[in-house]
Amino acid sequence: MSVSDKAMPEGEREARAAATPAEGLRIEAAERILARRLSPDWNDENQRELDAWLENPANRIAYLRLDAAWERAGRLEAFRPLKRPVSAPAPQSRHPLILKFAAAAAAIAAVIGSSLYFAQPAMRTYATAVGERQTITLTDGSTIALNTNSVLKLSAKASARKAVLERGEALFQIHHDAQHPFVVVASGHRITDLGTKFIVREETDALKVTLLEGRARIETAGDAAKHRATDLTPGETVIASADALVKSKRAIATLANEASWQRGVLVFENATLADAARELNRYNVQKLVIEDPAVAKLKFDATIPTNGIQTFARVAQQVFGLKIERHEGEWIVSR
Amino acid sequence: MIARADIDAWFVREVLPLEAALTQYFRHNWRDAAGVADFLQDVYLRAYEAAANGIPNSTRAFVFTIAHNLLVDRVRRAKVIPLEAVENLESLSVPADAPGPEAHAVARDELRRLEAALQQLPPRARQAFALHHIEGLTVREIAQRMSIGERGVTWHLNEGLRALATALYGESERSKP
Repeated sequence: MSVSDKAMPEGEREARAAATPAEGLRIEAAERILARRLSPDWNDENQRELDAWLENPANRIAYLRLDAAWERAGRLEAFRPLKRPVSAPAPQSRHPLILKFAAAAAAIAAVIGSSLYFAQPAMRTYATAVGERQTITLTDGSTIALNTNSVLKLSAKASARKAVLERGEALFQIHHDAQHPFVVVASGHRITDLGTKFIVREETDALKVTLLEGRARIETAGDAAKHRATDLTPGETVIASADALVKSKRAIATLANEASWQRGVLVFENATLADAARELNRYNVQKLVIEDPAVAKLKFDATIPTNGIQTFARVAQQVFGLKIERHEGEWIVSR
Repeated sequence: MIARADIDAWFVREVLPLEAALTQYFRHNWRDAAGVADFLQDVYLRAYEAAANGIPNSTRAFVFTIAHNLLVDRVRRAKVIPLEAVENLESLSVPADAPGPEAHAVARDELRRLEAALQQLPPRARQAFALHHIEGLTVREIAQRMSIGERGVTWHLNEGLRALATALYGESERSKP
């Protein structure tokens, strides 16, 4: 066993010590899966011993989870190079060391290059549930952060550089490539990055695009006669409807609040309770309801977690002295 | 009582795909992210045992209710209570019962996902894994190819399997918030 021991550097050996009970259980479950699946001399007694161990539900769960992953990994077989027979003998130890590395490198290269074996679908879909967030990292290091309750389609081919926001909101941080500009389509409008960080958000009857850094161009969805286009500079927000673009400009520091959902909070400055409630409702299955116009108009400053319906209710009660009633997932705010 | 084979199948088919969302939920609501493996294990165990009395209609709502209750218990038991946990606890919301991207997995998608997960493995573990699952080599053959002992191969496969499961279920294509 001295060979294998040498193959395990000291650092790795220490890393094997489990950090938590569940991680220790995972190591043991993995050992049992490998023994069960790879031992050439697995026998009935081994199986009985394993079955006894699996009677314990905690063990069973850890085992099922890893065994399902192993089962899925079996599909990697699809990447097996076609030319070489499966049972071809491995290069023997007579070969110089460099050849062994070459063989291993070829195996890895087969994995990396394997996407070439398959026709790619044109677009890939990403979706978030209410209250969920997801960050997608592109091959060039660009990132797209998908906010609550959103659907984004991304061209599967990295070189295509195109995304379609079908619902919700996303923050794009795009590495500029003059040869291959990144294009976002939303509500039929088209946004072309000229090296940028920007937020695209679908509202009920319009699309809102806010530019935080760099430059971007937006073109309306309307037909040729109504076609409009404008270039955005940092701090500018454009509201695009079917045939019009309305532009406004604010301080960058204020705009940063619009991306605060990335940190899991919402920042309200001089906001009405109605606006804050509407915003919070996007992130929560339970909903705030404000029917009284006098209550809706009250203004406040606050930083509230995106899941902070309760925090909002407390502010309403303690700061404004309002009443909160709960009915089947609705929090009704009144005087 | 439900047959154990049915519970096993339900657990693999419907509960495990929620791991990414559960991981994100835990990180969002609990300051000490190191305990995520223990948290997942606790949630799975409770879900698995509760399912013996009947497979739930909505697995997502069922599992997230368990996750919520578990966090509430943890806060009550914790000697030092993370302030953020207290702040958010009452308002933990159960994510809606909408299908996530994982529900749309098709065969080709699955291969791409596996490939991406494989890329996240430590180099030696990835090599051992590729030699077994792609090249179809036995442990002995892998040992020869990698110039290590058979125990060394098993060691790398063990690490690779655990990392692959986490990449497939827990964090695939999702960055830490």
